[in-house]
Amino acid sequence: MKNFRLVIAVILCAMVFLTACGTNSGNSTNTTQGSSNNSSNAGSGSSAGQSAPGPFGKYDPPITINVSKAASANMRFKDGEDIDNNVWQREYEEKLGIKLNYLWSAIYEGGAYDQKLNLAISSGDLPDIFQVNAQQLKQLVEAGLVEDMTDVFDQYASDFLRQSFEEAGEQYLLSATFGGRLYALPGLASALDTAPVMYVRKDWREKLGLPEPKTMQDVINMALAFANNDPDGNGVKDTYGIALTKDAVVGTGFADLQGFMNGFHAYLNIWIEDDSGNLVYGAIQPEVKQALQQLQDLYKAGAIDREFATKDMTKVGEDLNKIGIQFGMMWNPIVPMLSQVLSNPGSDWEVYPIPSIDGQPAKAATAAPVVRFLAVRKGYEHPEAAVKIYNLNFENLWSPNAQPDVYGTTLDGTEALHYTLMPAEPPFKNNNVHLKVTEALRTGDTSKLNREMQITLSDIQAYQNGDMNKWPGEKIFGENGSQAVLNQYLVNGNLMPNAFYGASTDTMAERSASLEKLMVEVFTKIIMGDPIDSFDKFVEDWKKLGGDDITREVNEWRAGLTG
Amino acid sequence: MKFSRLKMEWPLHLLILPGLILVIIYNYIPMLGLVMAFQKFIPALGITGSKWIGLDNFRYLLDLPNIWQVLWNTVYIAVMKIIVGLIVPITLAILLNEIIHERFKKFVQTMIYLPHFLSWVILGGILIDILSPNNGIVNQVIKAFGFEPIFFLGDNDWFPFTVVLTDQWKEMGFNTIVYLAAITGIDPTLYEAAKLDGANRLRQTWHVTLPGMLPIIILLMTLSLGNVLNAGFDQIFNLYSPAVYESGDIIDTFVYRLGLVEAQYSVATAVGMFKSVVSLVLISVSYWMAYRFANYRIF
Amino acid sequence: MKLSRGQRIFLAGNYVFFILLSLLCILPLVHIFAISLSSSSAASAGLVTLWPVDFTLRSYDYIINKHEFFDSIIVSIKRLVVGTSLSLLLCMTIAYPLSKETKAFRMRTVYAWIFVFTILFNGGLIPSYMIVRYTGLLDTLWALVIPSAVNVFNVLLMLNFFRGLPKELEESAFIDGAGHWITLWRIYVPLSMPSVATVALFTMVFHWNSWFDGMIFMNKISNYPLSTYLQNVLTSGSIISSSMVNLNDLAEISDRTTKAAQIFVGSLPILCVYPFLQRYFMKGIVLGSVKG
Repeated sequence: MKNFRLVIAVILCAMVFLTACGTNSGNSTNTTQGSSNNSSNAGSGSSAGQSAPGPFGKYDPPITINVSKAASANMRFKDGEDIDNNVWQREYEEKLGIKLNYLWSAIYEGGAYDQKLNLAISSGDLPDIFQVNAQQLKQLVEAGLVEDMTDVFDQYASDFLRQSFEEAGEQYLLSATFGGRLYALPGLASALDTAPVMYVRKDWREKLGLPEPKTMQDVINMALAFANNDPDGNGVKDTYGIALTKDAVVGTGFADLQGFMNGFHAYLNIWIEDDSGNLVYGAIQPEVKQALQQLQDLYKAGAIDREFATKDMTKVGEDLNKIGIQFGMMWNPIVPMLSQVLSNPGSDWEVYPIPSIDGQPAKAATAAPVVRFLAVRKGYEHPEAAVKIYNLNFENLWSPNAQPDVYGTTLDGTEALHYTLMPAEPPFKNNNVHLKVTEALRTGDTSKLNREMQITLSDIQAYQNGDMNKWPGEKIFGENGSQAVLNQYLVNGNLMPNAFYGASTDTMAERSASLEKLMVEVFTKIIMGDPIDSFDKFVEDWKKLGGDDITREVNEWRAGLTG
Repeated sequence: MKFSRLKMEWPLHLLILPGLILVIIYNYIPMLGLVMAFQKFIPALGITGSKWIGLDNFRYLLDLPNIWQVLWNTVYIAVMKIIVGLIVPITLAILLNEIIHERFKKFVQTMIYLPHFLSWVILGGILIDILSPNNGIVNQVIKAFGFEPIFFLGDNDWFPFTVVLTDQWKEMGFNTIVYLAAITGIDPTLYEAAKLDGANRLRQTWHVTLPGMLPIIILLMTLSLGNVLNAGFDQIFNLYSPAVYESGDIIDTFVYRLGLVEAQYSVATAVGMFKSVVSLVLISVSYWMAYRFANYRIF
Repeated sequence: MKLSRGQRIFLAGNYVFFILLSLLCILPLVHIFAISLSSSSAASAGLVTLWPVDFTLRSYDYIINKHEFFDSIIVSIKRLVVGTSLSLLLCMTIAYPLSKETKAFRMRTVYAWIFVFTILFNGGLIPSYMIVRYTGLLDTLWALVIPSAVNVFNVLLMLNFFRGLPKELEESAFIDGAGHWITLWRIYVPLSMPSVATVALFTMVFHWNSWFDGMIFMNKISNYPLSTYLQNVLTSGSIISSSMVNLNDLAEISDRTTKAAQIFVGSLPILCVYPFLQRYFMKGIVLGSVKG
């Protein structure tokens, strides 16, 4: 039969296809079977899988926890090691009797992890313990899919962890609190480090004989001078006063608007209290209008790059050699400023706190502190394991008993820091490094320094001896560095934290993208020359297109916290 | 009669079967997920658990500020890309066909295909330099001719053109090669007949080359019509900025920003569905017209 | 043949035009190549134009020295071989029946629309993910190969090519007693090598460059194909002001030179293969569409 072969071929193809699917579904059902097996094992063995009491109580026999990993793009392993086999995996097993089974991992930076987690949530595949963002946490709490951690945290948090949370401030725990109960462990991180500081080209300022900027008016004058008086001495009018990127309104941490705004007591992108104690959105307050007008004048006078609105962070970083003032975050000396300094010997930058336009000191805005939370799926038998893991992280990395060489930034350059289940650090870690290191520089007494501080100290000394590659160390942690400025804010109480630190409200979810787009467009165009009154129209539009609803929801949220 | 036809045909059915099964499983079953466009989809609730809200997502979309501007931008840029995407490669193919030197021809073909491999992330940075109104090369040439510099990437009047032209530069290689191949396939005797009738090269091109390329032109144009609401997310995302939202924001960049903030899958699905329906209409019309007027089945 | 002056000017101008065009196309690549060989600070300071500044192989070293890099190349190669074979096979078995005329195959147009419909309508990310999961393909090579195996554009191309072959071939095959199966494999396919090569090239480029499915369907970073690895791990986003910035990572994340090197590492194989397949390319698409 002529077509007999055809039939056979098609059947064979179909068989190959089906068996391929079959064996592989066998594999993946094994994984899902595995997790339910494990949890049922843990369940049945819970009497035997009981842990010793206390924050570091070991599970005996050991338990296996299914987790997902938000991997860092910079995660590197020693030869022969991988995510399942490294110093932290061994540590969890030895100290806590916990074996972490990584169901899946994805890169955190760039959003891959969040996307994969959303897919997992959509298909109902929750690991036992896993990292979430604020949005996912809110959804999961509302759907009843995560464990209440209030009691577990109270009972099992180690002293050092508890202390770290207290030092951090109540908004950390509150950001994971719904209806008075804690539903996840917030990842501690520093809000202080997000405060804007002002960077000024030292060699330019000195060349033009300008004084240190003490007020916002000084800054404005300096910006004009940088643009007009040829500070780089090349005879061409190609320099600018203030650096801005196309994302300056929302902010990337470099060449942002926030710092400049703060000098006018205007606050972008955060919620602040008004005179009657209600929460209002910073970007629609009248002080913003004043600051925008000033920026418009500077743009018209040529002190701001005509093309700033089309340039991203990387591009402006390339142009940095031609700009004299930049409002950014404490980490800018590493990126992008180091490249500019290395490529242009003789240039240097100094760091200042944000000056004020009037007699009142300027307050630096800080962002909402928590972006990552550690959640436990509802029904998992050992929620306290999450707390213990967190305890151990902090114990080995940040506590007085820490061994950062082994568990943190190891000597061979592999950052073991990345192998922990979820990264977190005490909010004042950098502040601490700065204080202790500068003290040691002054007194010469290095006995109180931990390893990270020792490294920082030697970096600063190397820079002082001429190694330009170590410039960032000095510029961040040194006597007059960015951390010193941040410390000034802290000590003088010149911080304006975001008064809203919950997950997005309903209207926020629907509208904030378009509201943000409106704001970015209007503000950018005002700076580039649109009439200043379009700001008033913007405020009206903002309120109408959802802003009023959001404001109401934000205030309801706050009432819910204290109530 | 029917029996023997079936006997002839069933092997054909069988041949299609594996592909059909795959397409049913991996394309049609997921299409059921389009129901998300009519839901308030929340990942934690899944498709089965999310609330049905009918056309609310579409209403929400149409209520968004600037949505009509965004839609117009999308269509405007996409249509321009289709038109330019026809003129440029066809012209290049015809010109390239005049080159006798085989080696040079192949060399050029490889060269013009190269930009295809660059990503818009990288190209964005390069273009900002080249097109800079202050010291970019293009504007220096413009200034040399005595004109005012043009802010290509920052001026709403110029941005759509910049988008269309730079996209052509990146993708013309592929299309040119396709058209060139089509030209190569034209029966040489047709040219000779035209020459005998006294046609010079230009007339030959008009009367022989272009008609010979017509089928492939129609195929590519139809397929790109199906794509008309995808004005090029990747490119625009990397080239646009607040200065040109007004003329440069397209459906996909708009939706992307919505998704960034709150992973609004429902709205994204609704937008996708809207785009698909429009594409379906356009492709059907083209198919029908080609069949009716030229008796040519595009597929 | 004597050329008139006008024709000569035209020819010369043509050559000049194409030389300029080629330059225009290759210069950006040269620029990126120069960046990839420059020092990080020179690149970030915008000093590099067409020649490396502070020549260093550091960025290539950085990419190549991770063993995950080689793992991902192997995944990519596997994906390419299996995926291209499967896709080609399916392309031919679908295009052949569709290329028949309706009187020989009544359901032809119905099938054609069924396939074309899938280009237009798409369930979206979540349903696609779920079907891959439910058919058990998650975290396996098959997830990268099976869902994308039927490529309707390629089918249309091959379909048009088959139509271009003379009808007499099919008729004489039937007279000799061959059924469709043999006709397809013994006659149509050997004559369609240009088209086959074209579809093969398109498919290979797709499998080599496709990174999103690798990210979504693979659970372990060690299972990522090269493109996903390069896209995700090396160019993972810009620094948006997050509260938690590990200072030691910062310089690595924003390194321009690695991003530049990534382009070359990622596209070099295809750039090498392409000129070889070029000669098939032309014939393949020609006959693909000239015949109505």
